[in-house]
Amino acid sequence: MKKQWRHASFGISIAVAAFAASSAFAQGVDTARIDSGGQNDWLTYHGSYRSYHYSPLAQINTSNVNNLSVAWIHIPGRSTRGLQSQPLVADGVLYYTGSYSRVFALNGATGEVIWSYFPQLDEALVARQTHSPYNRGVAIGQGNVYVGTVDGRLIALDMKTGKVAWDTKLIDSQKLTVGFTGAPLYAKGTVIIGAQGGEWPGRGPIFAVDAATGKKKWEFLTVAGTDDAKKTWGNDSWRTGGGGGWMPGTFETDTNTVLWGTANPAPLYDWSGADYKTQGARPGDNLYTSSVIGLDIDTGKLKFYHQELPHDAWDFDSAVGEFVMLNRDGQNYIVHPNKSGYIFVYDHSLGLKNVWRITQNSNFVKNIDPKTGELIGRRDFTAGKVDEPLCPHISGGVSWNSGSYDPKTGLYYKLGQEWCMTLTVMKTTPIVTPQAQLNIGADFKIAPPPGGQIYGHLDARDPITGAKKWEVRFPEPPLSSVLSTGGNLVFVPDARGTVHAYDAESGTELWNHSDGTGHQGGIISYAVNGKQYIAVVAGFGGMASDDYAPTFGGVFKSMPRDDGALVVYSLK
Amino acid sequence: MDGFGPQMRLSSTIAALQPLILAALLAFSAVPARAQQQSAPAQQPAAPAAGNEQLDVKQLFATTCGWCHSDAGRAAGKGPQLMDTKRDDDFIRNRIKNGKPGAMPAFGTMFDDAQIDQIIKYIRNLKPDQG
Repeated sequence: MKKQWRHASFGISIAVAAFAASSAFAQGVDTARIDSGGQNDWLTYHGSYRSYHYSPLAQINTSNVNNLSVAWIHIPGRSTRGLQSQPLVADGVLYYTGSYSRVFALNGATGEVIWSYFPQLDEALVARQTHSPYNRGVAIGQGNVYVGTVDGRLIALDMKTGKVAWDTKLIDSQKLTVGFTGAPLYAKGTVIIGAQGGEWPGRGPIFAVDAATGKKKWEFLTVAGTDDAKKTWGNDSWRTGGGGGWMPGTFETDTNTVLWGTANPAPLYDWSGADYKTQGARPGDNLYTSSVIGLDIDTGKLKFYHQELPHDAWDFDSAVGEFVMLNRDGQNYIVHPNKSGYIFVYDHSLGLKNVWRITQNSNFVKNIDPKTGELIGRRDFTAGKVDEPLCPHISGGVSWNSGSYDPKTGLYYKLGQEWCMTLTVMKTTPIVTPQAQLNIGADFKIAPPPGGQIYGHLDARDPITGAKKWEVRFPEPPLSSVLSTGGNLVFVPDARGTVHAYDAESGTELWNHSDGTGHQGGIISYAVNGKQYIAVVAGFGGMASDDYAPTFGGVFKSMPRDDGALVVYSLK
Repeated sequence: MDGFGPQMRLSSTIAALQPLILAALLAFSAVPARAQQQSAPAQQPAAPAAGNEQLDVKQLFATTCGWCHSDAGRAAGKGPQLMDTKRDDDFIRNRIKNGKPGAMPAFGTMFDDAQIDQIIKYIRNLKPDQG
């Protein structure tokens, strides 16, 4: 389970072109640099540790955005299930991933390939996976680029050459079926990555690995990772509890804390009825699933946590969301979306300050108490057909791509999703041999919200109070990340394939352009030699997008689910 | 029941079925959940890959297949509708065993031919939900 390969890689490294720009690789990427965010760079998945998904660059702005056009394109190839990656840029070099954890280093100004690395994956295992073979991006730091694989490894590549520095196996994916699809996080000499889990009957580990050597430093089990937590899983249900932390969290530099969101428990749908603490598949609150946790980066020990959804019975992970760290009126806040569409507002130590909801159609609870976090009027099912459709749909009130916080407008730009589901709950038995299988606990089908149609919306909201300033609706929920910039623009790549730019203050659409296929990944902005670029990945076919063709028809019926491209824009 | 073979093998079949029958009874009994979980760390698997065990395909859909095959296979969703499918048995068998890249996992190491026969039978017998 913990094999390390220190010798030559199993994959293919190719260095294509000498990168001539004098500033290339001149500066290292370290924690301090990631923390400060940088003017021209995008050094970590969420932009900086503050996780704003914001670029201060203003060369592209509301007065000239209609001159935006394609500067260059890169096609990674073999884009099974499209592209979900968030590109990173350091000193004019863009790093991004395609499916099968293909990693590319490109000249950020021209798109010329500097190097590429294709890890050799256990393809027989990949063939047995569902949430696969996509990859959501890399981390950079200490001269390396770090990428996870769906067969349970974390790989470090030399930033300049793409050669393998180390390749550490962390998960027995043969047994657990899952691996890594999320981007890792680099901080303080450590690379952190969380396993897939949730509906998979494992225990959902989060790993920390030494950035220089690849040696595992610690592992935190999101399912019953402490003795106290074990007590919240009746009848040994922690053994197949699910959990995981499949999207990158962030790092609080002043407290040495890793903030991470954890996934839901398994089975997804329980038959306990109202008495979930003593009945059903997993009696109890099921710590630390559907929670936000703070771990000491050096030891992996739990410092504090808040369970957003105790005994989550709806697949509403906390793993999805960004931890937006902002300051208002002298107070530090952390804003974190839960997959349900409830947005949680915390203080520096994950003490709850407020809860507000972005989803308009939501009935899995009546409300969440904004002061205590208590779930009010929760819908706990018994085995059998559920009478009233459940909202939101299993794809969530929000999905795993990130919203954006603009420190100039003070607004949080976040996508909400309006869809529901019919379901029939059934008692299931976890399947763990010969390898783990999904443990859902219900038959289900997508359904429109009561009395209406499915739709998506980009909201401009006060991140602390949830007060809505403006909203733009989409006929199908966009599934990509959002970008805001110092040019007072908000960029949203939609599901049909169009990138939109809105005025950050008013929500007026100022520009749009088609990338040729739907979006379900990241978007960033960066600059090289004084020129600003917007980079977005296009390529549809992930889990949530699977529902689009049968549900919406139209362009989704002909849209490829095995293709994609990185498209980069600049002013003419 | 299809796939059970001649009468003289019934006793060995019953013997082979006992752990599964026990697990099924415990799963559906009115006894609190505690009784389900005996001592073994792993749950009784719903689909061990051997012999002629009766596979609870309905439960299998609610456990795993239903992720993509909506409404227990009756509706198109992430995966195609299975009810009234025009695909022949060979196609379905091959698809279950080998999957489809980026769409369906390969279950060939999970189910043997007899179990796949039961899955196909379930699919052929799917009717609209009576509500």
